Amino acid sequence: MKRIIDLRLTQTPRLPLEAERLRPDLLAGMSLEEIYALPLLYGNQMAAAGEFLRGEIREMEDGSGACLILRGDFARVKRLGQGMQSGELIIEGASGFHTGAEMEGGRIIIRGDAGDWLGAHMTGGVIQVLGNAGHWAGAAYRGKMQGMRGGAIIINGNAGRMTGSKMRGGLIAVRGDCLEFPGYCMNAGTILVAGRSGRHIGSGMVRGTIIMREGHELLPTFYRNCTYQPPFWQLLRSYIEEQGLMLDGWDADCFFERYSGEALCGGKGEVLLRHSA
Amino acid sequence: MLKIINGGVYDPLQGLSGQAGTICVGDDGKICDPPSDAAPCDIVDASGCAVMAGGVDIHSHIAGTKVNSARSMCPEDHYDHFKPHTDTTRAGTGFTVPTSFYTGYEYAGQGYTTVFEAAVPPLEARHAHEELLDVPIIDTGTYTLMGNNYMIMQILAEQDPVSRKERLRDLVSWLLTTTKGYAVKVVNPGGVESWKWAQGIQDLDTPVPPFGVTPRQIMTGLAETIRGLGLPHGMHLHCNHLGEAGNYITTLETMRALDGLPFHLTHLQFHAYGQSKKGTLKSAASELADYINGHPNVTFDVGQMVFGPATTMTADAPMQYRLHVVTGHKWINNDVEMESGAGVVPLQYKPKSLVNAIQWCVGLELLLLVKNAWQIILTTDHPNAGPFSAYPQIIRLLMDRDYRASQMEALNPRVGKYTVLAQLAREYTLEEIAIITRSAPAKTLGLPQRGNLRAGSCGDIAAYRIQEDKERMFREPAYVFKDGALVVRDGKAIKSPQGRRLLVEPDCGAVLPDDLVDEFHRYYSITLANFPVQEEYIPRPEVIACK
Repeated sequence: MKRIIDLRLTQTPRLPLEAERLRPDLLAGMSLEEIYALPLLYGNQMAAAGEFLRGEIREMEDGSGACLILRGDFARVKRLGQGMQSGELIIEGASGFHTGAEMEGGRIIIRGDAGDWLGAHMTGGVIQVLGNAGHWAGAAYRGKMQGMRGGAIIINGNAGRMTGSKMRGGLIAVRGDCLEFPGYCMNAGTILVAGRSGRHIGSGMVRGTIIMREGHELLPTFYRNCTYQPPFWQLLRSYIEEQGLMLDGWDADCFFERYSGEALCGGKGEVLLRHSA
Repeated sequence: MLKIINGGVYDPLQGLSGQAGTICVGDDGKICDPPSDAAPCDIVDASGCAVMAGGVDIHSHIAGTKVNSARSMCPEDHYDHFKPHTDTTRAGTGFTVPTSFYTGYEYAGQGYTTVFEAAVPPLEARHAHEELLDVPIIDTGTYTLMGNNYMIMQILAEQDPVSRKERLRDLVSWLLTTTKGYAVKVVNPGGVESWKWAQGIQDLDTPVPPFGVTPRQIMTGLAETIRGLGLPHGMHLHCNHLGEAGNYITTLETMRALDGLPFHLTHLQFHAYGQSKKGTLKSAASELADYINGHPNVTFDVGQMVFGPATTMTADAPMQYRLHVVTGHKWINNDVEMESGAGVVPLQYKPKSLVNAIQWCVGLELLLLVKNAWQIILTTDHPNAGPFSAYPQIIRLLMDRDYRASQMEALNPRVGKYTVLAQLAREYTLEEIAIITRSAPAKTLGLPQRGNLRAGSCGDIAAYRIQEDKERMFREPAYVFKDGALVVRDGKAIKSPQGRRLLVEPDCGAVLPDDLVDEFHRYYSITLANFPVQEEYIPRPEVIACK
């Protein structure tokens, strides 16, 4: 038995609405009335979720767990799915800052654009964005030393600055372009950008893997090792395709130019640039 | 008038250890003898409570540039620790480096009423005083950094001993007066300046560029000057070689060099390390405790480590650089022109780390091996070895041997090889706790009206509910009074009065000698007229007389 909680945004919030309680795993056992009564921080005051949301709950024979569907423009609604551990959250529209931050499991699908800090500090689960993502996707909050530690963020559109900053594990795959500083000070994990990237790729990276296409200028603290076919590439590619992201021109038998860096931080990180030939 | 009745009074200075008694505070905020007539008064029933003087923290970093830099450098310290505002208190955030208002409420919320900011470079004194204006309830004071001061070293290098002594006296007096400081603080004497010249201090007789004076000359010169000026608190000394394996030799040599002079050793835990055959850390607390037990004039505060997050901040810039290199954590370095340096590095102390576990044991060993509680003062060198909010836990570790043993189980198992803590059975009494948290620091600081409950002393009083769990007892005092007014109930601040600023006014010239004025104009980035802290920054001064 799968429980589907289908909610519609009845009015666009004038001020940011902090909705960390809107998680499929938390809402799974609640009635509609209980959901409407959930207190959410609205500006500097508390408001009931029912002031902004209306909808229905359906039961489906197939499947199990809970699925929360949110319909409307949630760009001003922050912290959707924050810390969620299981279930499915589908946002039929844009989502605001911190969506899926500190998430531990389950799946979030965003059919519009996602705000900044998407999946920050997440440790598990999958976030899929069909539109663009904002800055600091999978990053560490300011001052913290480790960002995303596991799970995957799959972005069909473009990503902003500081994608995967200080990330410690997991995967971020971007089909479009990204802005400056992808993989800034990353400790581990994998970032793939299929389009063009802004400058300062992997600046301050300690370990981890950044995969880009050819033609990117790297910092002078990265040095070339070789041209090769990494054994993990086929696995990674098929995993990304399983998550619904098709990469044109990124064949299973691609060659990559391998660069080590950043030399100022030990040189244990790697940047792989897809070989043009 | 206020009357606190039915409490068990702990006042080590008067020899009271739990005897039932009544404490009266007059309308002037001072403790007085019980009146003979039945004058109208507020009565507080403190039955079941231990009534003590307000706590005195001799060494804490609560205001100034490095504290503020640490706040902006460590937003992660603020995400999970916050308190909303109430009708009488402001909101605040932070765990190891709380915001200024929060600091005041938290200290008072543990029964502390007097706290000293331990390291203020003269150039940054205005900042520290301005920030202390926003630390409510508690009385505060600042120590002025002089151990690596260019002008002081210049004078110490002079040949004529008579003129040198007089000129040093004038300079120290001028620095204390213009910075509105309470005591002379010396941090890694000569070591910071030496590091700025890409050198280091080998021992107390290593010459320090550019004048070639040695750490020994700096310490003895300043301590003799302090004795000459009759300052209430001796030289507040952070020795050389903090945190290095084998540094207890430097600490012992320092104590011998200063024998007979007024000084106080701060955060001794960081200076009590021996060196194992492999060159790693081991405890040398017994060696230091032996010396201290034989020299009753030596006082120290412990700087006990607490497991969990900490933010190290000190004027010992070379030590902070080393810490940054060793741990890889973020680092701020600050060069304070002619006067000092500073560094900030956030850390996480872990019981499973052998080095941290040894450090934790060394602090407790010092507390347990030194016999005379009047020589010991409880601190965590907040926030270097841990936040001050951990005092109640340390008190429980001292008073409860079983709890100590249970905490030791979580340590790295190899710690027993390098420490002797497991063999120490001593348990502190409530009277001894009263000594190390209020009476001894007040005595060491030369504050006769604090740390005791005699008639004429400040009406700063804390009443703790006596219970088996000493951590809980000291975390939530039933009542705290500041100058006779109830400011804290059940550990929560309910009033937010402004505290006093403790100052000294040495009766020596408050003018900079002419030749140093030229030096000042040549090298300082500000003019002399902008240097002194104006009186506007000290709305409630309390001048403590020199001896």
